[in-house]
Amino acid sequence: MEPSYWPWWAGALALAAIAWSYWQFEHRGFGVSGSVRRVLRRFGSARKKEAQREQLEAGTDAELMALLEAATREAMLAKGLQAADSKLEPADNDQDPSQGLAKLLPQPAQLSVPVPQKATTVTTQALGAPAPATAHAVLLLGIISGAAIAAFFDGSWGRTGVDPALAALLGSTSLGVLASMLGGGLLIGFGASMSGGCTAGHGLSGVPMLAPGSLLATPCFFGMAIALSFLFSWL
Amino acid sequence: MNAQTRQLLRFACYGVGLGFSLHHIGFTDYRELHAMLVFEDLRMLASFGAAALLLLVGMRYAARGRARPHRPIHRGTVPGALLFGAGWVLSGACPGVIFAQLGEGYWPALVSGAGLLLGMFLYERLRPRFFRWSTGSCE
Repeated sequence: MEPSYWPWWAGALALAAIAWSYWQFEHRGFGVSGSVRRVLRRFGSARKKEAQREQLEAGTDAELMALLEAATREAMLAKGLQAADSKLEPADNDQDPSQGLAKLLPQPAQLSVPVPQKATTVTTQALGAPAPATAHAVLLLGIISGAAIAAFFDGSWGRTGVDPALAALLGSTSLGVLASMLGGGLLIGFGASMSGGCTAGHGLSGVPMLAPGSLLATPCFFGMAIALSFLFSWL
Repeated sequence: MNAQTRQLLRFACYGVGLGFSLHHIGFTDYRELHAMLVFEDLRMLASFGAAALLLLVGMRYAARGRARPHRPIHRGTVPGALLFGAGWVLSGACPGVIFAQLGEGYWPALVSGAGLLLGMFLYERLRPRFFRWSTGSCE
């Protein structure tokens, strides 16, 4: 049974909603090839090293902040920036770093350099921490599930044989089509790794963020796909 | 529910949403893909392009105050993209589509999936010897 496809605007909204949500909540770009790579690394031969790296990435913020605050406090006290304010006495070694940097800094009046009255903070936060490989594995399983649900409900689950349109284009038997799919898959895997993203990674994450690599890669892969498709249909 | 569980749930939603959408938009169907690539039917192209435009606007909000991902142009950008485009036509799939096709019960996707993994593996193997340029990221 042939499914009827969504109108263009519905597809646009769906893709945009997913990619946007990913940015909004994970503060990183979305990309399937990136997810695959992450899962492969984590569960592949470099398992242990990857597990350690993940731990490091997860623990970075709090630890690092505590270290930075402690180091800053030491440096400032060493430079003699103690105030009449007893809170800044060096004897207070049990000071909890989570109190925040602000409380450890000298007040503006105590500094030799004038400090603007109104603090202009332009904070550029870093990208979000990378999600662990298990989350990416769940995403990939989700793709399988989502498509399965869709296919079950519109009755198109389980096509037999290779895609007739691809077979017609290549002008070959099923075995030939499978060989092409293997080769094509290889090129996709290789190409995505080399260029740093797949259709979603470049087109739906990189391009909207105006990342130079994606702005160049997207027309390149589209261009090649279009050219090759025309070539095949003429041959 | 702790933060990790919430994150797993979110990732499940992204995946399910993507799989569901890829099926209904038609990216898993070679006839639709081909029609898009030879400009016979601009529906899917319009979906993709409009999504990118919507995101261009939406990201300004979602990514405000955040650093942009560092994705510069490097020596692998163009050749990689060209290889990717070729692979897309020969297999009918980009990585997400492979997983969606598996979900649809389209078993030949196992072949393109095997190719995908092989390709990624090969690249990682060859990279230290042949592709030693900076990609601007730690990965």
